[in-house]
Amino acid sequence: MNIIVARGDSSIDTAETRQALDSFLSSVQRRAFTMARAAVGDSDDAMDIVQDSMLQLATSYANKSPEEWRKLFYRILNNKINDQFRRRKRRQLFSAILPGLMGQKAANMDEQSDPFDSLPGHSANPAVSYEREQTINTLHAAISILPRRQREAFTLRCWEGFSTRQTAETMACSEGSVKTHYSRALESLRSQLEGQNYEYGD
Amino acid sequence: MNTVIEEILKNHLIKTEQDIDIDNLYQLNKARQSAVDSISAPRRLRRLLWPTVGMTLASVLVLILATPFSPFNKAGSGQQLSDNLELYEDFEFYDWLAHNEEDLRG
Repeated sequence: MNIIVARGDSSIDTAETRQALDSFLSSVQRRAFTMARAAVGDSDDAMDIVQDSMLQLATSYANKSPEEWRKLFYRILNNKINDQFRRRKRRQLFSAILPGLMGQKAANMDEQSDPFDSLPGHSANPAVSYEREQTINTLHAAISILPRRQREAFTLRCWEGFSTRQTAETMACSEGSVKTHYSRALESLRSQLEGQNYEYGD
Repeated sequence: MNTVIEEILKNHLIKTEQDIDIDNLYQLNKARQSAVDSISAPRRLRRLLWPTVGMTLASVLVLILATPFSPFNKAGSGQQLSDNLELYEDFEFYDWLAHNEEDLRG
C-alpha cells in the first residue's frame, strides 16, 4: 500500500516539479539573458550561457527545493559567464601565438567581443529610442568591464535584489567580501558613467 | 537598495530586460522547454533501466551457476568425486576387517 502511494506521489512530484521549474525559468530567463549579455557583450554567447545554465539547473538541481533554485541558478550563470571569459582569454592567447592561422578568427572575435555590439540597440526594435539605446549600451559596457567579483556582486545585489547574505551564499564568499565588492562596483560604475555623461534621468 | 544611484541603475537594468528582440525570446523559450523536458527523461529512463539491469544480471548469474562448464560446478564436482572415493575406500577397509575377523574366529 505504501509503495503505491509513494509511486503516485513521485509521479505527481515530477509533474509539479516540471511546472514549478518552467515557471521559475520563465521568471528569470529575460534577466539572465540580459545579465549575460551585459557581462560578455554578445547575444549569441549570452544565449549559449543561459541555455547551458537552464539545462544544468534542470539536470542537476531539479530535485532541490524551488526556494534554492534562484541562488543555484545565478551561481551557475556566473560560473558560465566566467567560463566564457576564460575561453576568450585562451582564444586571444592562441591568436597571439599563431597570428597567421588565427588572424581571420581573431578579427571576427574582436568584432564579436565589442560590448556595444548585439546590445538591445542592435535588435532592430523600432520602439527603442536612440537615446535609450545609448543609455543601455553605456550601462552594459560599464558593467562588462567591471572586475569579475564586482560584476557578480553588483548584478546579484542591485539587479536581482539579493540580500548581502544571499549574495554571499551565491558567490561562495563572506558577507564582508560582498559589501567590499559591491561598494567598489558602485563606485566604479558611478565614475565610469559620469565620465561618459550617462543620462540618469528616466 | 539604499542610494539613489542604485535605484536608478536597477530601474534602467530592469527596463533593458524588456528590450529583448523576438528571435532571442523565441530561443529563450525553446531553451527553457528543453531544460524542463530534460528532467523527466532521465527519471523515466532510470525507472525502466533498474529492473532491466537487475533481471539481466540475475539471468547471467543463473547461467553462470547452472552451466556444466561453470568454474563453480567444476570445483563442486571435483570435491564430490574425492568424497565418493574416500567413502569407497572406507567400505573396502571395513569389508577387509570383517573378513579378517571371520578368518580369526575360524
